[in-house]
Amino acid sequence: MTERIRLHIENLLRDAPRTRRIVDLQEELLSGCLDKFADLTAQGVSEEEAYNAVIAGIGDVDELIGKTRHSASDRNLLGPASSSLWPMITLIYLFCGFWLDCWHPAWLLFPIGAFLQVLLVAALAKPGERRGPLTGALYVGAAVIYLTFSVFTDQWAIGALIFMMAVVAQQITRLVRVWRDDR
Amino acid sequence: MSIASDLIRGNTDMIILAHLSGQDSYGYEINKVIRQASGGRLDLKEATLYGSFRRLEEAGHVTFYWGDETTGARRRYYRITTNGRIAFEQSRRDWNEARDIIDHLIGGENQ
Repeated sequence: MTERIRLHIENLLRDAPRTRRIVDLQEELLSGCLDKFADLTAQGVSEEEAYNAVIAGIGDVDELIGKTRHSASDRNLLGPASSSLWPMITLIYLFCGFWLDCWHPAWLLFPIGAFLQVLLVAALAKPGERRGPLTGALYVGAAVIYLTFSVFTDQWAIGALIFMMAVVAQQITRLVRVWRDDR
Repeated sequence: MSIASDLIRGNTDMIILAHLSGQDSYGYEINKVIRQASGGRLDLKEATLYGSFRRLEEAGHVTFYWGDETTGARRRYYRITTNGRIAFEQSRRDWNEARDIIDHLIGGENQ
């Protein structure tokens, strides 16, 4: 019967990512359920009734695992989508610049990219997520700095490096966030 | 019980800290003490209990350590921190004050 309890708990947490938090939760939940089961059966409750009481007493764990599950699903979709957007735009930009020698209108790709990024985040980010506005602000900021720098220095190609820096900054903040969730 | 349980749920953290200010303890034991002390009227769900532990941990009001159970699963023991004691005393004062105000406003018991 204790094996049945173990299986039930494993099943409850099946979809949750294997973070430290979830592994701890699973052990704590199992320990609590086994304690309760042993206590009830020691009081003369039948194993079947005790099992039912233990399972009913667990309650809704969605909220407990929600926080970590949430960040896993956005890693699945938003992460690859937005991290493939910027290398692609950079490649097209460099191609237009070096190959076709049209650095000047090609820089428009970056403001367009920033706009696409904001749309992407708005479409894919879950409600209540902080990264949406933050990422949007990062790229809009990068675009403003780029335009200002390039208009004053006329170095459109060199200024474009700011976007690569923005991509790197974004990846670093994502890694930090993932690392914090895993702790 | 259903309306009362909503009122009580908002104070789960304080109730747990009250128990931990006496001694270190783990989930099942805490829940059992709560059940007995409330005459069986309050029986927290595991999920509510562990949600509360996580909040208290994140706030720095408790720390945890694992028990050394060799069979089944290890227990996760909780210990109240100095900040936890301060927060508990504060919530207890807040509660007493709020209860006093509400009692005055609604005319106390059975009115």
